[in-house]
Amino acid sequence: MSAALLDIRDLKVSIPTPQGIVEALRGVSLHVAPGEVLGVVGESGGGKSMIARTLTHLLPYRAQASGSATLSGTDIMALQGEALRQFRGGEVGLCFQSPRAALNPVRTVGDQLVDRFRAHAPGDGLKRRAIAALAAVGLRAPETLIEYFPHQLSGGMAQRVMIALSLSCNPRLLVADEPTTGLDVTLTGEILDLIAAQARDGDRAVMIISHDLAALTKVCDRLVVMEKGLIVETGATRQLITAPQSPYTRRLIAAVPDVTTRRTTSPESRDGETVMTLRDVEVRYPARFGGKPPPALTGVNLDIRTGDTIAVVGESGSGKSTLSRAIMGLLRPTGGEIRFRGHTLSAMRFNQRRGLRRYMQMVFQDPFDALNPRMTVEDIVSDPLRLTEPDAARRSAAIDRVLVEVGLDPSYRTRRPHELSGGQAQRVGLARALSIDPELVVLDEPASALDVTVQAQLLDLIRRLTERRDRAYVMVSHDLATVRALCDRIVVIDAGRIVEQGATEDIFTNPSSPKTRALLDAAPRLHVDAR
Amino acid sequence: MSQTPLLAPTRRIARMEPAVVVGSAIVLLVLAAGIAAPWITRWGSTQIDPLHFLQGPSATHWFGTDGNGMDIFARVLYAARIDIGIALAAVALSVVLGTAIGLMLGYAGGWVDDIGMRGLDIVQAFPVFILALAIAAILGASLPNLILTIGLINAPPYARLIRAEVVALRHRTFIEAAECAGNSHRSLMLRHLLPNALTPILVIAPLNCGWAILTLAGLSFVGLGIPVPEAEWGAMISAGAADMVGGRWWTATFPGLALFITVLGFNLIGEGLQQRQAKR
Amino acid sequence: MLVAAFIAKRLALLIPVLIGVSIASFFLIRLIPGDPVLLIVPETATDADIAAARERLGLDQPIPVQYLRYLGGLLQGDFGTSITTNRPIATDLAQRLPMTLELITFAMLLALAVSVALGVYAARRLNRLPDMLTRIGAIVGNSLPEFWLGIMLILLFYQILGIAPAPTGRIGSDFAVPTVTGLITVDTLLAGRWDSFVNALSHLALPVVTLAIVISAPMIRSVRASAIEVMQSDSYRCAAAHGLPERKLVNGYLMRQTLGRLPALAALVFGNLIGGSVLIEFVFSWQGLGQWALRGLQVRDYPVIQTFVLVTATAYVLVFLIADIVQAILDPRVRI
Repeated sequence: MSAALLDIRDLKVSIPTPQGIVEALRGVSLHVAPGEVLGVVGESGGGKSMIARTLTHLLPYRAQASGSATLSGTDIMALQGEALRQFRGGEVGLCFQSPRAALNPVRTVGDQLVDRFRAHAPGDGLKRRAIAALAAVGLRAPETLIEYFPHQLSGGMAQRVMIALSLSCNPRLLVADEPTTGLDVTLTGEILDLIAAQARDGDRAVMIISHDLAALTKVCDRLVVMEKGLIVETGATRQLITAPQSPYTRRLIAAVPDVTTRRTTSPESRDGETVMTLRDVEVRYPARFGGKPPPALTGVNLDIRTGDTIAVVGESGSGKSTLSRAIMGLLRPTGGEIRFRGHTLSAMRFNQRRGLRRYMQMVFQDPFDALNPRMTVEDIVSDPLRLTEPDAARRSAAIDRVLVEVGLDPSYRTRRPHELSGGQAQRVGLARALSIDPELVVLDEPASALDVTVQAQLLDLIRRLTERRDRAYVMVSHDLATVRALCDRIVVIDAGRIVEQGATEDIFTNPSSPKTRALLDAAPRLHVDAR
Repeated sequence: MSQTPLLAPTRRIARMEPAVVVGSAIVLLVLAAGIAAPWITRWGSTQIDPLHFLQGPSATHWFGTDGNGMDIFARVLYAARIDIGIALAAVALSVVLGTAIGLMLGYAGGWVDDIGMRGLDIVQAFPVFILALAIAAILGASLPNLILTIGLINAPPYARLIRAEVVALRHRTFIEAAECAGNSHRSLMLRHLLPNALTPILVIAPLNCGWAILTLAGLSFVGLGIPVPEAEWGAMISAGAADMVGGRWWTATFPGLALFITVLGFNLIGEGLQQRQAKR
Repeated sequence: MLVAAFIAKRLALLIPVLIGVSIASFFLIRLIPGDPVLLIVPETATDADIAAARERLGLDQPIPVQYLRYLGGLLQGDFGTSITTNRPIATDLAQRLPMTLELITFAMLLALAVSVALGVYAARRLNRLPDMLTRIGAIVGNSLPEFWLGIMLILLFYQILGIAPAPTGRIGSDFAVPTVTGLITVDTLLAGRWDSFVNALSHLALPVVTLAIVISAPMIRSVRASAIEVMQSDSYRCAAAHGLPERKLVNGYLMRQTLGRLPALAALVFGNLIGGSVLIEFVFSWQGLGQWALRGLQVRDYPVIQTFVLVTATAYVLVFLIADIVQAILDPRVRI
């Protein structure tokens, strides 16, 4: 092992909160060598970010840290005053999680770069250096960009600016904390490549902290797996992926959806009766500042039959959520027609639509946001039941039944959302939708807000439900890999239009639209061959 | 989640902000003193001691007497009833009125909301105390009119607060989910939106009680509030202000202290609640 | 140019509010049941007097016509006549306004300086002694009745210590100077009377300090809260993590972002200031707008009440407009 640049030994961090002391790090030891790209992976709440915050003395208020951390011999924990200031930015460049929040909103990009040059390496030609710094992270037209304020940048641009700021004073260690949060799959790859490239020349080291194991395998030399404030496994990427030692690592790996898994039952049931038809549906949101915005959805035709499980796949902003809300009658299309059970849903008023609610239900993306925080599980689940079942005793029996169906113990009835885990909350959401036995269920990214290990279990539950073929399911997703094992039919949507639709296997084996191919390429997968 | 119900309240108090505990203690103490006034002092609120005019604090008259020979200690105690009573009633009126308006505007949206908000803009274009002065002067001083005045002028901020909450909540998924679950307009508003929109109001209301007492006292101070012989802190300070020049400091000082301490109590509760809110 | 467009847009939005304000103040005195003319004529008036007054005031016309006449008068600077003194209200206004303006301006400037300094100072020493003291001070200031505080300050500084002048107006009788602008501090300087200027300042001191204490309290809280928010924001932490020096952090990052919210805050507090000034003028016998209005309120001089309400609301709305514009200039994000 070459001499480590960063050496952390037995680092412990505890944070006092109103609920008691949280042990964020419980004895973490790791090292990074010059020229190395280290990935720190784990689920949210695993304490990963506290490593980055310890290195820059930015721990939360009243947090206690112990242990040792050295950067080429400098004792980081003992730094203070001017030495600490020089160290921050000069030795360690920290790249913040959400660049939009981390950039100063009232200073231009150029000024913010110049601030950093002045702090560490003052001299002449600061503006020229700022332009060069922006060009170095692959930003086009850096001469104009230096005059921009952060709110004028796109998400990808803001992240590149953030990287440029972190690198501006040529630190020996670049630490990136969840650098791809909120970015599209294609951008995620580009940004990670850019960050990893910083270790390739010279003796700089890079540490990337992320929850996204698949993305890290592509760029990291070595991985550290963290769970609940402890390192459970560490090793070279390839070795760790091919021969994981700890059960937690195995769970993380298993949770990466495998594009090659197919739907087990064949999609033969094409004879179900039609429950919903969409004809030439168009949705335009009202303009905010004059001008006519492009339609969120246009020219959409779709037939949904009983027994169908249809996936609507597209990138964020493609209009897939708009489509699911139009199907549910949560928004009124500005053009075209949606028919449900012989009624023109798109022309109905609130109270008429209310009459159809017993036949159509929805499961939402963020399980906690979808549950009324002040209601108990039984109130939540019985909310739609009150439409069909006036008798309280029978309603109560139905709640128990459906809770068992989604794999929850009936004792959960009296809990409130904040007493549930993410997976449990989503099961409650599912139970609410299924409680009145609807004919059509729309699932809006039902697993994407959950931790990866929980995702697999929930998707498995949904798969079992769809196999009964007594209902129609529409599942919205950004991720082709997850839907392959779940859906009979795939509808690919881009910029508000359906660009391709067909049987799942046809789409996978013979994608006709370039967008579909791009989505297939961007699907997360473990890269074990890369290094 | 079966908890031991016996211990739950004590635990809740232990978790409370110290400011809330101290503030509540002050307010309850002042209120209790006002209610128990007949047992605490032998003087009535408007009872005249013909032998002692403008006497300094003594064993007979703890806080001294005013120009009419009334016992200031007794009047300070009795005034707590009127001041706190009117403040609570006025704030209750503001909360109910503001919540109803805010809930409806926020839920209806569109042009109803636009027109309602412009209306609130216009009402709020008037500085509150000026509006209070004008309405109190025009309506004339009486207990119900004062409650109405203070309650009315303070309803718009509540309406705005609730509306903002409701508008924010309407974009939350659980409201969409509730709509999907087939709730009626009424049920969406009362069952799903209202309980979730009320939290900020519970924080503001105590601060507002303090403000309401100050407003009432201010109105009485300039002669537009509670009419003179009645015991009210602001009116007592006003009557005592003139005595100050002759060195008779007690007539204005004690009612002012009572007023200040009571408002401080309400403000401490509000501050503590805000702190707790922020910690979440 | 964008800021100019922004100002034009805000001005356009102002017009309906001002019209609304004029309608509200027009109808305010019609809140009372009964015939408004009876409120305006003296109690000794005969039926003929009443009829004459009704016609003179245009009260025999339909309500919309009455309103338009009222509005027309306002636009020409005609606010009507006081029914108790028979003086034109516009004359009284012109004479009284500067006195109140002076009081309010000094109080606002003092309060701004104090609250920015204390608020930021407290935030930078979060949960340590200076912060605790500032917070306690702010709660106390928020709970103090300004009129009582004024009286207590008079008791202390005039009655006991004898260092403040008697609370009887804005200048001692020996130091009187001719009125030019109506602003006593300006007039004394214009007259070249340094001694009068100092005397005027000594008269201003207590009322200004009283008002400033009361309005500083909410401002300190807000400034402290926004400074804390900025210091805990990712943008500040990021700048700290990249090793920017303390001075740059405070001036370029903390102050800039904290002060961005100050204009709106000051505008909001301006409303309290106007309200408080009525009480403070009463306590200090300050012959400003508040005293004038108060007399009108006590004797129910309705044209006076109406005008006072209208003028203060218009001022309040204009202050908000100015705050909006200042904020737009400070914050690049507003320039859409």
